[in-house]
Amino acid sequence: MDHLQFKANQTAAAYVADGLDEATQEAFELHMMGCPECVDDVEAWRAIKLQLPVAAQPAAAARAAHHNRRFPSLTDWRMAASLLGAGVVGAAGGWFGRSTQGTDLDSTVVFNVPSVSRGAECTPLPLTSDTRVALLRVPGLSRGLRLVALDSERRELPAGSYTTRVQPDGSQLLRIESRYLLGRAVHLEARAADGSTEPVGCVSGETSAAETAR
Amino acid sequence: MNYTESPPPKVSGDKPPERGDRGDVSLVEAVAERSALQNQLYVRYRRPLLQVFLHRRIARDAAEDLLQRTFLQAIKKIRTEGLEDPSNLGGYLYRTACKLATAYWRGELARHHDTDRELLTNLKDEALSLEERLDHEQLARCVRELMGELPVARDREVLERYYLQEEPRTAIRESLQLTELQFNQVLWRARQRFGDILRRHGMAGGASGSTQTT
Repeated sequence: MDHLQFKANQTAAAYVADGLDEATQEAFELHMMGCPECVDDVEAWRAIKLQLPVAAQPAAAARAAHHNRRFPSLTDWRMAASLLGAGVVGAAGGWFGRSTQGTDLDSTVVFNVPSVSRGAECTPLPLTSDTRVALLRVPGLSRGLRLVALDSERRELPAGSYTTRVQPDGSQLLRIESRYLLGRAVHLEARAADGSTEPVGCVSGETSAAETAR
Repeated sequence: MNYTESPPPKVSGDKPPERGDRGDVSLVEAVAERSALQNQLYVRYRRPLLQVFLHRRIARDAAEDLLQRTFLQAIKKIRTEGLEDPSNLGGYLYRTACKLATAYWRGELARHHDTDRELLTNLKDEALSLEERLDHEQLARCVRELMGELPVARDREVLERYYLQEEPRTAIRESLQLTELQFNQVLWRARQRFGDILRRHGMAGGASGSTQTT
């Protein structure tokens, strides 16, 4: 396939969306080695893909507010933190999890990670089949420590699979796609600038009992 | 670990060798002879190779490390045994990168992750990816502008479903009753507009809009 065909087929966009078969992917990647224009396209699409969750949130929240006044709109991480903060009251010493409702929260679950439960064995998090994103709140980490998520072999999860953010109250929020959690152990670790690490805990996504009973 | 054993990759304004097979041959000669032109190796291949690693869900820090290993292996090979086909330097680098990515996921590589920030600073803009030239906030703003400027709601829906919900293009096409051509035109329009937005933010060269060929 030549450059014109790659351009006509929007191959760069499909590449970033993981939509190419193996042979086309290899052909396109080899082509990319000598094609700065296609590299530009791939970088642009990757930027769109990575930033779209951030960029789309306000729009999604506005739509949700318009269609469903019962629930507050989740416009950004601060709102998510507030939601979690409210949940902490009911969490009382254990993990807290709830499936949220409403148009823009259908696919999100939130959990609080109290200090007392850290370092224990992998804690199961109940997820439903339509859960796409889990938000974990980790309070009590020292400033300057970065929260990272690792797989069972202690390798950091791939770029784009999770993001973290420090809240005004000092707690850290970790947003992770459910597919990286379901049936897998995800280890949380606090990492200092000098490379030293401190284990925070381990979580794994499981299909919720209520969902299984259905 | 640095990219090379000897020359710091402070990329100069040397006139780059021409693209294509003959350019690769000149570049291989420059690396073998340790001439100043060898720095064009990074300018030409760093960005596409970075995308190859990112596409394999390798985190940016680890990808930087693998990039360094890729260049180091190529330089050693050129200076010791030479390449079988110097006109296919890009292909050699690509295959080396693929092997390193596989070895990384198999846990066969010791992790370094000591990204050389000074080296990144010294690289010319043309060797840096879009994400390295714009920070996350700027990129998020650009993507938000893109979503705000797309005039057709359907175009926004296509992007959200393709990149946010990660739906297959066939499913999106069928539900929105779009032909393959129409789907590609939606992507093309978005890419054009994103190129315009990036240019407004001073990113003239890096992510130019593409030329429609359909």
